[in-house]
Amino acid sequence: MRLQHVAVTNFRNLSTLRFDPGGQFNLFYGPNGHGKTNLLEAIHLLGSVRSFRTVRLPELIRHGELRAQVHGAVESNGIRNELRLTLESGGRRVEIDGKAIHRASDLHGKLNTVVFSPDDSGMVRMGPETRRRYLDRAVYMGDIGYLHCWHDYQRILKQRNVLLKSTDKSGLEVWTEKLAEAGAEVIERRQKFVSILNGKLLQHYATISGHSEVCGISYRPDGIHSSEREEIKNELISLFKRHERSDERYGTTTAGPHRDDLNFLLDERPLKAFGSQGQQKSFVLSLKMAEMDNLQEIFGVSPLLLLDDMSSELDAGRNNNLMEFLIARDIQVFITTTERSPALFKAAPNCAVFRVEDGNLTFEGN
Amino acid sequence: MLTKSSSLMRLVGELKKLPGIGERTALRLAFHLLKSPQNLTALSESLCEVRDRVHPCSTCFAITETDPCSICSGNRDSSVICVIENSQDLMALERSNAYNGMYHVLEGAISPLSGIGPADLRIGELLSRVTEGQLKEVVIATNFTVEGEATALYLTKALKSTGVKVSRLAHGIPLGSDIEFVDAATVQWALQGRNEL
Repeated sequence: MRLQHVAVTNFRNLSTLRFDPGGQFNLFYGPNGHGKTNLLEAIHLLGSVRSFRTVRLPELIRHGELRAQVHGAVESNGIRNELRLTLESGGRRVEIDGKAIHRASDLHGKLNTVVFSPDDSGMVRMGPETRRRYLDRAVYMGDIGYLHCWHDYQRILKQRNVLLKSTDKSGLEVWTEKLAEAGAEVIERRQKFVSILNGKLLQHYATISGHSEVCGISYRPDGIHSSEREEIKNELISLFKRHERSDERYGTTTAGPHRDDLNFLLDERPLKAFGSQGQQKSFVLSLKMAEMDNLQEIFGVSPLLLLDDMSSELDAGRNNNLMEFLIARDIQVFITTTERSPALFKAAPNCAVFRVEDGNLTFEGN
Repeated sequence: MLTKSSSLMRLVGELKKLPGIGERTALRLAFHLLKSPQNLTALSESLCEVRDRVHPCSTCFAITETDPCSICSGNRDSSVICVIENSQDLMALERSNAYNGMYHVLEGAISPLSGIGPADLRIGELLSRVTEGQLKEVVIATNFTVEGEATALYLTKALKSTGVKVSRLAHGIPLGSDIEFVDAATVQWALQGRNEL
């Protein structure tokens, strides 16, 4: 997958900016706070409609402007598509080749990006909701069916929680069963994703760290032992039944897939507590590589990698490993740094260099 | 000059309450009506007529001008009841010409978010119709939304003790459409609900 042209208008601090990225490595350097990450965010948004930063829609539109636009030409498997995302205070709109799409899923797979930012390294130490959000996003990237059951689950959960707060609880049994039905599908799809990713993760970690530790991600949904949807549903119903009293007391659903965690393990022990800084960094990098491999297998074409200010995360060794990986798989990369030529680029051939200052972009050559 | 309390502004205010109509459209409609007194008279008369004549059928709760409605009093198969959320759904089903049974309009779907519980719907009336009549089957045709599905499940459970056969409208790929253009979720449903030939 190649992003061949990008145009951004009134997005955060970027007023107007258009450029043709290089086919392999693209470096964006400049002082902090001048719009480098905003540019990566715009590219990510074009493919997924949702930001990798937690954000409210109006914040994405440049101050004093009515709308922000991101336009990109993507080449994938020999087909070129023009994607255009328009953000207005009223909502977001996506057009593919000039035609408006009505479902977010129509955009699925048109522009796949994997983001690797300091937030990702922080994921190891953060609370479960950060890892759960990562999991949901990663599952959806490669599994178009996930969005539907996930939305249903959220909607049913909302309905059930309102009911738990009200005095008349008639119909609760029905909402519990519906929640279990949607929840079972959510869990089944998450389990499938985790098991696929684990094999790839293990392999990359071994290469990067050069050690023999066994690493893995582990998804153990609360109260679930099965991996078959009908049985998960029954197990979920008993889980919800067991928590019914506390649910009613707190006025909210206190257990279920919306509370599950994704565990990062090193030799069966939590990475957070037992992994060194270096091991944690290698782990997250391997996870990102596994994600890219997974997307490449599913779509038959490699995704884009958006590397946001990772110079502190990648030492020389990990950097070389990543470069070898990216070159071998022919992955188009967008990198932001504060320096003109960081160590990262020693090994990178065909690198287009752009300077970002005050929301403006200058091409400085290859 | 028109003041806020003028009759025209009142009309605009009333029009604005309608779904899909904002300030500008309301103004445009009001000025359009003003241009032709005949249209204005016809519209006001028909509004009053609808208010005075249309009401829900006392049996099936579909909107009607007679009571019982033409379907309930007509020569139709009274051993099947099709349960729907509102009267617009009835019109859609009637257009199909494929159904010759009775109807029952719930007047909504269960939705705690909108403050609608089972007691706010015509479920009690449905249960009495089922237990009193010589019924063979209840076809549940609520919407395929989260709320419609929850309502369907509630009805299935409520009807279980009556022993009547309960069925649900099939869902899947729309007629006359290419599979390649159908969204993934619908294709999944269609696969799960496939029929043996």
